[in-house]
Amino acid sequence: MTNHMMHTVKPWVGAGLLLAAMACQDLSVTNPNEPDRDRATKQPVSAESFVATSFRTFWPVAGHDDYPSWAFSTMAREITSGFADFGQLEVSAEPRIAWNNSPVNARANVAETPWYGLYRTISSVNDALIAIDSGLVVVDASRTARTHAVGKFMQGVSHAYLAFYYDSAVVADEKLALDTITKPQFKGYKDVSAAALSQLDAAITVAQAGPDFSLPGDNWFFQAMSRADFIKLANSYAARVLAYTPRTRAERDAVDWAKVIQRVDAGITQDFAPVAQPDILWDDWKRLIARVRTGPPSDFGRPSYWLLGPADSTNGFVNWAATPVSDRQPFQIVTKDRRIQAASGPSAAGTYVGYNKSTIFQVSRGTYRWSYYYFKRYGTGSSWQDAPSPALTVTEMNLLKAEALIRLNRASEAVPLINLTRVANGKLPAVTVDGPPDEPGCVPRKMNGQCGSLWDALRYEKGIELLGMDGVTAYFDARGWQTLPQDSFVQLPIPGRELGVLRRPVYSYGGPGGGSSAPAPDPERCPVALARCP
Amino acid sequence: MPRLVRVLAAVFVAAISAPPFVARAQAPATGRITGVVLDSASSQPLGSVQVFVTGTTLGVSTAENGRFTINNVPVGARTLETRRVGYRSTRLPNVAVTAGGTTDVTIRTSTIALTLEAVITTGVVDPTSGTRVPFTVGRVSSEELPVPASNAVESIQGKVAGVSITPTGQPGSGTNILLRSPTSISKSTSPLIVVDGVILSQSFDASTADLESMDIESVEIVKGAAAASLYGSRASAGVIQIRTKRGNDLEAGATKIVVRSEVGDNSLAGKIDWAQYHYYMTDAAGNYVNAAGAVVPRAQRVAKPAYERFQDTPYKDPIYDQVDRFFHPGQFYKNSATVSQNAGKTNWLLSFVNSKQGGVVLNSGAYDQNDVRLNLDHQLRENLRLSFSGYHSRSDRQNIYGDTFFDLINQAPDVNLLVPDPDGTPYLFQGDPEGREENPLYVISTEDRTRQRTRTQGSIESRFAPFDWLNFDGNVSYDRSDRRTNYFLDAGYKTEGFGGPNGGPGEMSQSLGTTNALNAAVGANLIGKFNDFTLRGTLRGLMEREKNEVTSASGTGLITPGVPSLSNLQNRLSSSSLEEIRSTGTIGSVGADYQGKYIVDALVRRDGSSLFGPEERYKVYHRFSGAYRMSQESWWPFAAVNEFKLRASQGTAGGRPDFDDQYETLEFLAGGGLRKNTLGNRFLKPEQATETELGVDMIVKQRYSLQLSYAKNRVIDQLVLVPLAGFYGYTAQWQNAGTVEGNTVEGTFEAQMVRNKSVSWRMGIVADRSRNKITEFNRSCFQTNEIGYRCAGVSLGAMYGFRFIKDASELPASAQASAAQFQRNDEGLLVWTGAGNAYTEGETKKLWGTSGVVGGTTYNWGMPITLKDATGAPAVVHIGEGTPDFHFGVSNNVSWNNFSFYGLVDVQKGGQVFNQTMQRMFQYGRSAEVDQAGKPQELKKPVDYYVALYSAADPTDYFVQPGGYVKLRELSVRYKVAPKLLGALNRTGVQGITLGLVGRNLFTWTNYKGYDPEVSDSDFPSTIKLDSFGYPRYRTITGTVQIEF
Repeated sequence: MTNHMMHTVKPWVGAGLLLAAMACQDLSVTNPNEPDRDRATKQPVSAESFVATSFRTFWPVAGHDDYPSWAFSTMAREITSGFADFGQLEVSAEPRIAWNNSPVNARANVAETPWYGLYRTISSVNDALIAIDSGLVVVDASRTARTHAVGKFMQGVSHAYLAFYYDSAVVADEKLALDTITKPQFKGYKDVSAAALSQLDAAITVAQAGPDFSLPGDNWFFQAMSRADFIKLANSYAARVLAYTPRTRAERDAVDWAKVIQRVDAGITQDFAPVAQPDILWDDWKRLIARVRTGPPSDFGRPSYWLLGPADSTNGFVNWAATPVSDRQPFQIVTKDRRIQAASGPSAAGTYVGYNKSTIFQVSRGTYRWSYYYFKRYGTGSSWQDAPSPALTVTEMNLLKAEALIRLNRASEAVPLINLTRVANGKLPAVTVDGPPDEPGCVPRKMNGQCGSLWDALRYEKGIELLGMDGVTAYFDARGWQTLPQDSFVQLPIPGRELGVLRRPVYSYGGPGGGSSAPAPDPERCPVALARCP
Repeated sequence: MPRLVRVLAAVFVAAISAPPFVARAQAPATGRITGVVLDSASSQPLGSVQVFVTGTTLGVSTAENGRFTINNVPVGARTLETRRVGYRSTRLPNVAVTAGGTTDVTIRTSTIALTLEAVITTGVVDPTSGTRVPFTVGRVSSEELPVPASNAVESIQGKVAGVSITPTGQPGSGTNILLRSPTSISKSTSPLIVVDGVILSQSFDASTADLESMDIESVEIVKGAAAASLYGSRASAGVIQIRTKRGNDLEAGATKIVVRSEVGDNSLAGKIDWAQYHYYMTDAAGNYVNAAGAVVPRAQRVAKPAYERFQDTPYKDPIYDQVDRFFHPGQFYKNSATVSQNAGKTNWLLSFVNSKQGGVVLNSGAYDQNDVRLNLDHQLRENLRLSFSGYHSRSDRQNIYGDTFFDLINQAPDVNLLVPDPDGTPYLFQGDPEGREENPLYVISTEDRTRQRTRTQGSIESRFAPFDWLNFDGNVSYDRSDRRTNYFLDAGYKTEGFGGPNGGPGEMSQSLGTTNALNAAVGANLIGKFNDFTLRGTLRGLMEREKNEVTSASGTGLITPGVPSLSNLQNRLSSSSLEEIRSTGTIGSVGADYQGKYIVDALVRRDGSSLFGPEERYKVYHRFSGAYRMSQESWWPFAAVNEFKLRASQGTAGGRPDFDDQYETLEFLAGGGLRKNTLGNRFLKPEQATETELGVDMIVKQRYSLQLSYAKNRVIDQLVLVPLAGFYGYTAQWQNAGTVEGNTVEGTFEAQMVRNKSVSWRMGIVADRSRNKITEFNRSCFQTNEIGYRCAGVSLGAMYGFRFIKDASELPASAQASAAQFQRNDEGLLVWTGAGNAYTEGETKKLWGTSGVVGGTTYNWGMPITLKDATGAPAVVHIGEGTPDFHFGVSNNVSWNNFSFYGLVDVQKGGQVFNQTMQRMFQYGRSAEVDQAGKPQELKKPVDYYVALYSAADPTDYFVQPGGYVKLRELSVRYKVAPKLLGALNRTGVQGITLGLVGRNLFTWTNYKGYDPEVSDSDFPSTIKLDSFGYPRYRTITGTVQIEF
């Protein structure tokens, strides 16, 4: 090779080498930030964590965050609000209108957030359950059994809330082969509810069959539990499944209430109250309904007069309810119920709510939404992020059992269950099978001002005791007790976004003449013959 | 540094170290060229002209007397080429160089009136005169930048056709750029930016904010795939290449120092008007009273009855102009010093810029930026040239917290924001007992939010020309960004949820981000001349490595107040992310030119990237283009038309996925645990744009130029996040699931209106009109960014939302029979009045606040009615369009003796803005539009009417407002002090002093009702025009002094 040629070739060789080096660059980059399913489930501890943390995905959409709590609670007239943030303004407007199920509805999260949240919970535990079914051992037999049992439990409660909220859903357990689905099989809410019950029973069976285990207090359910406690919790949720699935008074009447009693009796003996942890598990429902942002307390939502009003010994509530919606103005309650008012007078705060005249909602949103009462039982200060957050209480179970007993014509057995909190917390005179003592200032009163029945006392007691616990249970009761305002939707359709993904037509519920619209309320009608019942 | 990078560096060095072997070989015979360069019009000698020997790396600059000498020129017939800012590139062919001889030449060159003639370097493999490029390359030179912009990219606003710039509010926030029509539904529509060979990383926010505008030599803009194929999978949205000044502008041996200082103010350019009245019951003295007439405190005031709830009662208490109290002019200054020298074989430029922008919000701190730039060129050998460009920038600012302007609009007019808080803060936390939003001035005073950024860029470029017909070039560039944000709120200060006297528990966060990007390229270029043919060929290889690392920590609950340490937090959270990008590219191109008349060009590029799914790792792009310069034909009949070129180009380019898109991901939960997130996609491809551009360029009488272009763009394989059915557990998957098409018609007209010894007047007009549409969308339609709507057949600028009906024909079928019960009010909205009533009788008949049922639907009296769809739900319909009808800019650059004037007027015709800021002001009656004082009584509407228009923050057509404007965007007046007036200063070495006045965003004429129609509050500010409590655009007026030594 001549020098001249060498001069020419050398740069080319250099450039060629550089090009070759570039071409050889390995272009495969592993994502170092988030694992894929394979990487996660290959590790037993990772698989366990799918289950251990699934409760945190379930928790917000089970009534402890914004969606669907604000929509459901305001629709059930438990909390009243003049804001539109989480869909509450739209669904609580009077008269009621149909739910707008369009995926472009600005409040579509009312339907979407719980739907996808519950399925993400189910999907996470399914992956772990598939691995366990394939022989994965999570460290040892005890932890494997725990993962298995809690996995089935989370599957059960997630399907339960799908059944509570939606008209239909896909039952997606670990046996469902997702990669073979060409046309998903949606089942009606009763079938989904039955599947949920079966999964909760499977959780109980797995827990009972395997070696003993316990659940730590700083994770899983954020409340330490023995295996026996866990089984009790599963039974209590099963009681909810039975009682809260119905959409109508007739369906609630048809519940097997004897089984409800069985479940309650096998259920919790202390409140299920996960201890909130900052940024990990908090109760945003409790935070917002008690919020004191800058000025007046409860500045985002306030206890509704429909809930507190039956305790009023004046005619304030009776007159308010009889006033046309657009003319209703807030008023002061005078009551013996110390949960609402202290003994020193009607302006003194009770143990659950207090009195504050500052107007927090705009007049143009309707003064019928106004309330002079603020909520103070849970969620004040920073308790919503670092204190026990009651989610399923013994009181709720007692009152469910009381309802079952009344319905089974065992009202006298229901009386002491109702009086437990009525007397201890409300400082009210005990009720009898005939209701509260027929005297001035009786609590509760009927819409005509007369003293209420035992049935009325049960409904009132459950309403005020569960106030603030979560944002959805009052709605489940309201549709079964027929206390929802007329034309409220009694269930949600499959979210419009999901229908769009599946190329199905969008449909909706509620509103005048709409499907699944609540009939005119008839709250005081008792399920069985009782004194003071119409 | 990874091994691969070391290998690349070694190979690169090997490539450029080849010349010593050449040197040891037999030295070729050389000669010398000397000469002078003259202005063709005045015959005066021209200094600072670069004279090159084409086909070599030899080049020098002329001295002040216009003379130059080039040594060691290989013998033969050589061609000289001149370059100087503002002058035409002139070629002098057939300069005979003999061994050991000296050839003396005279070169005459004329001023460029016309950008079209300037040499461009973007989109082409070697520098080429604009008249010979077969596609459009926009260009802005330093002469057109007498008003330094906030950052380099903003400099081109209004000066190049097809360019839309949307600055982001707070100083130091960066700029959004759109070239022609948008190319992507979900991803960035911003072009690739290259500064002195450094390819800018776009992986982090406000990437453009760090780029100082003071030292710009030129900006070239390639607007679409038809020209940008050279840049492959990063260039579907076009390319902007910025070149900064270097020492080679000086004559050999010269040194120049320029010191410039600019001082002035930022101030609010437009206002929004606050309501001045209320609608509560008062007594004759103006005191608030309740329904019984008893005086009550403000917190218990009672609204008037619905039928007279008009906001027309004056406040008894003092009221305030909250805009005037909240906004406050901020100081602006920009100081720079530049030293440059040309020492023959080596030239360099060192500059330092210090700038400060106070913004317009009271006590919100200032944005400070300090920059150092060093550019150095060295002629290592006669055939080897090395260039180094280095840039370092540091900036600090106080970040405005997110809700600042939202909090502001919630303040009632009778709230005094400037009253001290009991906790010692100079501003009251919550002045309005009914208010739910805190005083933003309190928050600004108590929250410590800072941002620090450091940007370091460097590039080494080399060019080795061993033969006339062959040269090699290489480039290594590095771009590093360090970003730190701090937030600290001490315990005891009031905050949301903690408005009591004890304040909150305190909180803080810190985030550290680092980006390292390394790009390298090496290429070989062949140039062959065969009689009338000129052929060019290029082979080039490229590689890219980029790493992004972010570490964040936050927490609440200070254990010891006053100590801003993460260790001082009771509750702590941390997170981190690391992204790595690896890409390669190979380019081959050929071009041919016959007699300078027929020009064709073809290019192929193959890109591989770790960002593409593993099954789609490589992608090929191409370009074919051609031009026909008819004016070069012997038969060309129009002597006055000096240049007439037809051109056509078609090319492809890509838009890359983001790092996460291809991966199946499970997200970590705070406190441990995993949850499914997105489903991966191994088949994910980059978006692919195919642009076809047709155009004509012409120059008339060497004074006027016109460029007209039509570009049609089709971008397939759109990256779309497709939602999945719930039972899969994964929320969504990135898929290639759509197509966007767009077209642009644009024109650029330039004219050298006057040029003589004392007066020069140059005018430029740019105009463009773009349209775009999603033509394919394989997922369900969805709403995004409040008003954006993504669906087939919809433009990316379309606004969708609810519409208030205007005509009875829009009523539901069930109400049609009762249409007589509805009337159109004075605002043009159809309202229900009931039979026998007029919309003006709401007060007199006490009808406001009443309702009636028509066709099963309840209607509130006099209230706006939302259009319903067939299901009875509010219909989501097209309510506006953010894409303007067209846009044009007119710039004038006039010099008269020692005075020079520059003005840029920017005009947008059409295009709408959704004014969410005003919408929210309707919620609490804060907008002056809700005030009813002064209206005829029968036309007054209650506050409820305006709250109904607010519509619970849903997007409605009522707040879609005209976004068109005429802006005096830039104005500069400069006076160069006559040398005879410098007097004694001359003896200190002062060569010249220039005094000036500069205005930016000076005046806006618009019908828009917000602060400014240029808004940037959506995630896609170039297309979705949302005004949502953003930092308003502001005006800057300054004075300048520039001294040259």
